[in-house]
Amino acid sequence: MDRTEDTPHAGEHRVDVSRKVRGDDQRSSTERRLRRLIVPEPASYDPGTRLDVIHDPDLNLLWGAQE
Amino acid sequence: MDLVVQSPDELLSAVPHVLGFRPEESIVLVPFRPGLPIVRLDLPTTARDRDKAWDAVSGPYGRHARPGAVLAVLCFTEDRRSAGLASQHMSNRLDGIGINTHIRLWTDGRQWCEFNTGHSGLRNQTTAERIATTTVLAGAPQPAASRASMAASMVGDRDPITQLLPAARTAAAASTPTAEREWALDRVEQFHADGGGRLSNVDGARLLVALETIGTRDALWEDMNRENRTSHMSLWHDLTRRAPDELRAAPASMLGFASWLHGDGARAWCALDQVPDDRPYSMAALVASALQNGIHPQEWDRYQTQERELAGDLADTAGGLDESFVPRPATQHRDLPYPQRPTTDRPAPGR
Repeated sequence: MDRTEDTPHAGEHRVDVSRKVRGDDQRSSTERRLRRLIVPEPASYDPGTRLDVIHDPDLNLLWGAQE
Repeated sequence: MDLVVQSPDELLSAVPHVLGFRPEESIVLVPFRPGLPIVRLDLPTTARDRDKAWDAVSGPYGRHARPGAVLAVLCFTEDRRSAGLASQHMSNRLDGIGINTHIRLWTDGRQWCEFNTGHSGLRNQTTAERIATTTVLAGAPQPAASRASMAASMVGDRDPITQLLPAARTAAAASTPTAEREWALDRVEQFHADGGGRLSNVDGARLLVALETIGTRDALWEDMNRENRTSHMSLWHDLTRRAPDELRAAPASMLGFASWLHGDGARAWCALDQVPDDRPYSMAALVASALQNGIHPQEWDRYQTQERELAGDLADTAGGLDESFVPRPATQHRDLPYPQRPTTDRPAPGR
């Protein structure tokens, strides 16, 4: 069986991104291809600073329809 | 639905409806025109933290900025002095990459001040209620009371599925990964067709156990697209609420990814918070990277298109193809019962 390349584990805490990124050798083929194509390595940011990024927000709600 | 804010008070009242929650001790960047994302982060209160905040923002904004971009910097905090310093620092740095800050607005919930002009006033509860009413009538969900309450909504009763796990594992051991993957894909497709709902505890336990097989998880992951993303968010939100610790990493990561695909970075982070962190889970790390780097969800479309093109090239070259590497077009459904379904009608990524 091809189970558990990366296995869920016990305990509930906030995600520690800096720890999670060390799982490089456990990536599935989908993860490896995504890394290669679109998602940069998380080397250039402070994992303690979280950004809530809202893409394509409904700005019409705020400013009205624009040309 | 157009509210078209007419005053600083209206803008401050409307922003939670766009964010999805009421920001607290936060700095929020709101563009005036499409192209840039809205960004929220914790209000920096020291010079070092202001530099770190800019370092975090500069990636996404540098990537998406266009000449002439204009935005508003809003600070929600009791700390007016830090709001002034942080908004000025952010404005100066944004100017350096060609983004103009037209509004620097602060509120503590009772009053507001626009730092550029010095204009100030009181917050008006009637304004907030009018904007909330407008959004309700338009069918928009009301914002969560806070980011913390959004996170709390992802914690539910985990005992029922926990109690069913031994039986689910026994049944999975008696089956095969391929059969369980087929069942999982069918069950999720049925969930989409039903328009959401709630999986039974038995089906929930079986699906969570199936997700431990990475090939199954990847197949469900690659099922996500712009059309079914809200259905995926509903499914994985429910299972994240109900999954015991040992099985929660996968549904929480799936919820994080679906939320990112929906453009909702805050909800995605809250989902990742539900991933137990005592050992790495690489899918969660990848989603975190996408969030922190401000990667636009349309990149997933590009990824799936590239994979399909690559698969097409391979098919032309070799006259055959490992279909496990072919993302399914968004409009293609698995609409035949399992025994009659051709084996080539959908992807089976992973191993």
